[in-house]
Amino acid sequence: MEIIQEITQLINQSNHSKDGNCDILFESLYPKIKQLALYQLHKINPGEHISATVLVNECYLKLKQTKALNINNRKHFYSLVARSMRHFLIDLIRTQNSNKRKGIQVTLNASQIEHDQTMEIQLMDLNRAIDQLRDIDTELAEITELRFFAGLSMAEIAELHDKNLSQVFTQWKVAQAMLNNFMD
Amino acid sequence: MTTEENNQAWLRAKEIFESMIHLNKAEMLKELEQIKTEAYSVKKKVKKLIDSMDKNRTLFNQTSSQMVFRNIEKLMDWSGKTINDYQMKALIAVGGMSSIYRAKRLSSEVQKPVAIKVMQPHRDNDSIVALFKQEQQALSKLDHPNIVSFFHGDQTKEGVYYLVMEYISEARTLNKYVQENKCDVKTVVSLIKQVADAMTYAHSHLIIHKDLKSPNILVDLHGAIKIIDFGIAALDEETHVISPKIYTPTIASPEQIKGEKITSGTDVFSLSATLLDLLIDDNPLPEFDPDTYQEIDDKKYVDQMLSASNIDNDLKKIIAKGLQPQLKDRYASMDALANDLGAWLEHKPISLLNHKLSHRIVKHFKRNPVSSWSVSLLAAAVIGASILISYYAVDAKKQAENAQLSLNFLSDVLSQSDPSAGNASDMTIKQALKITLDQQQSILKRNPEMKLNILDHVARIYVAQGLHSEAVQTLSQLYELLIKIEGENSTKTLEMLEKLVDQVQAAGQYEQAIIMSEKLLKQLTPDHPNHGNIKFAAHYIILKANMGKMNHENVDIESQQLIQMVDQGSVDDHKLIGNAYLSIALWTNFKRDKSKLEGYYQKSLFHLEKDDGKTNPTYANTIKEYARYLVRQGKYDQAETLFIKSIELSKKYDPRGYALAENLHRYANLLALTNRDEQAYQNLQQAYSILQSSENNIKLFDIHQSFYKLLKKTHQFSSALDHTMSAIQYGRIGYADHEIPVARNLLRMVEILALMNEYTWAEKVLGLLINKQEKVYKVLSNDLKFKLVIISWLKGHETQEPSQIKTSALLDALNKYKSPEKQDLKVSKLMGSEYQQLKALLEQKLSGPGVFVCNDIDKITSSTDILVLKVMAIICSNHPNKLKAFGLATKTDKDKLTERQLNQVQTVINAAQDNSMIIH
Repeated sequence: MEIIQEITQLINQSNHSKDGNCDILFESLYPKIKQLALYQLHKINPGEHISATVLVNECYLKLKQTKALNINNRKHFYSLVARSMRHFLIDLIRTQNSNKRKGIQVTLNASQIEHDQTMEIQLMDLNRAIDQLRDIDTELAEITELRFFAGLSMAEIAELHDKNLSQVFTQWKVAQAMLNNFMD
Repeated sequence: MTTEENNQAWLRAKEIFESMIHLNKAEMLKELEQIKTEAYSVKKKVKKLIDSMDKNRTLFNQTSSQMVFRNIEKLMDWSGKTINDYQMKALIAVGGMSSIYRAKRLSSEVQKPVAIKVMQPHRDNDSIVALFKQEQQALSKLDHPNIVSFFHGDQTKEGVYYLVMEYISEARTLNKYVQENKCDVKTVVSLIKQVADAMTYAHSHLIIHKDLKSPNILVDLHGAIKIIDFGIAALDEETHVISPKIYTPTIASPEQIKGEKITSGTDVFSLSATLLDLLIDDNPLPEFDPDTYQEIDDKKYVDQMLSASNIDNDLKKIIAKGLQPQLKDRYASMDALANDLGAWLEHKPISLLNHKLSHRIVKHFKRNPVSSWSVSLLAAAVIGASILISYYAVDAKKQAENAQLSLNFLSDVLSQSDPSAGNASDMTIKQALKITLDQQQSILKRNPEMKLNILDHVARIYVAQGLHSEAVQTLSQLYELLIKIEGENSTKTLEMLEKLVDQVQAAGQYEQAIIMSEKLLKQLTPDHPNHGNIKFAAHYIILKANMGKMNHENVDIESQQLIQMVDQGSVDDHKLIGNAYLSIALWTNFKRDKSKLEGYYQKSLFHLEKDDGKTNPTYANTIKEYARYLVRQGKYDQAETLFIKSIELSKKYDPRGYALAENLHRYANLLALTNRDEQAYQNLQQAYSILQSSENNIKLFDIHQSFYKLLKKTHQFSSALDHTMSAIQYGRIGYADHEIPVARNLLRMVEILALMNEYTWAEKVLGLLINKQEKVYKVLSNDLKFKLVIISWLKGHETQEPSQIKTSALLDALNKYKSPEKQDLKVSKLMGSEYQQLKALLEQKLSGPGVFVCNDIDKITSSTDILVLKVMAIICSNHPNKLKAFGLATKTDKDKLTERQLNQVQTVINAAQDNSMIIH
């Protein structure tokens, strides 16, 4: 599958690049991953369960099957996918909102469950806060994305980042404190 | 500080915070205190981080990540996929809980598309599924050209719920339609009127939409509306329990925002908001924060929007009425809103002209005397109830629940009517309840709790409607049931017994009520915290029963006992106390015991104010009665203030206006007393037009009497005669066994006929009273004799032959007045010397003609005294002008009996003779 090859190539190329180049990589990678995620989503039927982990792993497995992806790039890959997921989600929300504005899709049943609406608002806020956090501490931002948008457990994050569990817990705690401040 | 510097500061703050993360909050703050080397901005940020540790954002919880992906599912476009037999063709709409697709049935040859509403997965939320099912249920009951048609609903094997509905091609949402077609105000109103009519139909099926906004109202190619999305609609109040927080902020009613009970009035509010939204550029309602929401802000905003807009004034009134924050101030039904919108469109007077409730009612009753809005709403409720009952034939539990629902609905409607007034639709209510109960018998047998609940409801309706014997029957059943469930001496059972006994009393079974009350009193435990009120209530029932029996002595004893109980503080139900004081006051008033009367009125008001007070009908009633008392005391100014207050109050709680009519009537009497005759007449007219529809014979009787008095006072004898004859007519129906009020009017008839110089007729009527009715004669004897004398004298005056017999009759009457047992207030003004003068005069008269002029006539005000003096004047002066001065006009052409009146007088006489109205 063409997309998968393209993604693999992009990640492997970035092998030598430092963190600074990550944004460039992400920008070129995001449309591909989004396509992949959408493809995954479209495979399932209405009512079938989607979860972050399933989605990310499906992507990962697809990529891994090509055997071209360097296993050392696992951390890199997960970071990118998590970030893609975040952007993917925010895009979906934005699309829906702009549809509402443009009136292309009439919101026949926009009777809001308060809970859902605040969730969307909070997600947009969180999205901004993560950007802000990234400018201060990239690693904290990444941990948040992994935790939140890729649905990884603390143990998995620790393994990816080559840290012990308590260190990751501390970082997650600090990240939450920072995000809380930025989201206010 | 630049962003870069700021980020640097945050980074440093983060590092410090991280180094302290193992500490607790207090320790962290202490540590931070001791850091001296850091910049203030850094320390401030550390402080912020420490503070934010307390913040517990649900977003960061374990489940949130899963929730986020639920959102993805929600936002997905399933076009191209199939759901059971249907292929999704295009996503038409996405909403908070579901998406709608244009779809096609795969197996079908027919190309006609359908609309499919797919519920977005909310696995963690069963109530959403319940709502979806509810919409299915609601829609399947409705079949109306302006409500979207529903075909069927199902669930896929993956558990996705969906509804298949009519696809309305090339439909626009209402707001878009109005915008694109640049609709004028009339068109907008006619569209909203269509919605209101369709919703009236839905309400009659007990379905409330709860989300009537423009996007939920489609307009098809032909300009016909289709109401869609009954997604949060509900069978009456059901949703209240399931999902208190679902609403659209821009059109949500106060009760939705506050999570209070939803009724059909909620739809009235939202539709009015939608109408306003289409007519102005701004939002129809202000933005709000649910936590600090206050409905008064809504009202202020709406008023401001309306006054700033150039909408037609009548339409403004309609919208303002629809957007009243309080349910009771709003249109009572969707039907009422639809009617006014219709009236506005047809340039008919709308119901809200002059802001006068009475006016509204009069207009309405005149236009459509049978289907007045309360009656039609009632009919709708009745229809609704029977539909509901027939709808569920399988599931017994469901059936019972819906019987309950229909009863709730019915009692909601009925609670708005005036419990003090007679009701033309009694039969309808009785029938409706009987149908409901009969159909539910089998379920009620199996489920005692349900039975209790439903019977309780039914009883309340009966009580509110004054259907006492039905109430007694139902309350007896309830009482028996409670004895079985709760035991004979439980507080609940005893309270039920008290309600029952009260209705026994109200039904007029006084003896029985007293016996039962005494039995109840014996069952009470002294010092029991809840028994104080029951004891008081029981004594109050005994009091009322004794009043009914006219047992003066016992009434006095019970009154004293009740007052004592209040003074001892053993009762704290202020409403009950307030009511009791009013009863005591009315009794005291009846007994003409002035010393304590005012205190009783004031105490009644005091206690009712302590209760929910000012919205209580009894409160307005007490004010009115107090005002009437003050009138009798001659404290007119004070009385007038109270009347104005009670008129205002009675407008609020009584949509049909009977209480208002009563108030206007009493106020009119005061106006007449203070010589504002024109105003008095207007008030009477207004009251009368409300009462016309009430079929309450006693009230109609009363008001005809007042008309008579006023007209007689202003020398309009012919009209006065008509009114007194009307009073007799109503009195004969209203007072079947109490003939005195009727007899009083016969006497008035005599007087008027005499004043019109129709002596022959006057004597005929008088003959009915004097010759054949001993009982009536005794009560009226004094008045009667005077009347007799007047007529005799007038006749005598006419023929210039005063008869000695007649003069002695007058003297006899005067003597009787002065007799010891009659020395009451009425004759106290007839002081000794005057009496002596009169007597002397009459004696002189007996012995021969003479002239005497009483100079003190103006000082005497009591009606009887005036009568005496009138007679005296007749005796004293045969000058026609003198007669006129005392209200005894001489015959004029204008006051001649018309043919119609003659027939009527004859009818009255015949009726009296035929059916022994006054002959026993």
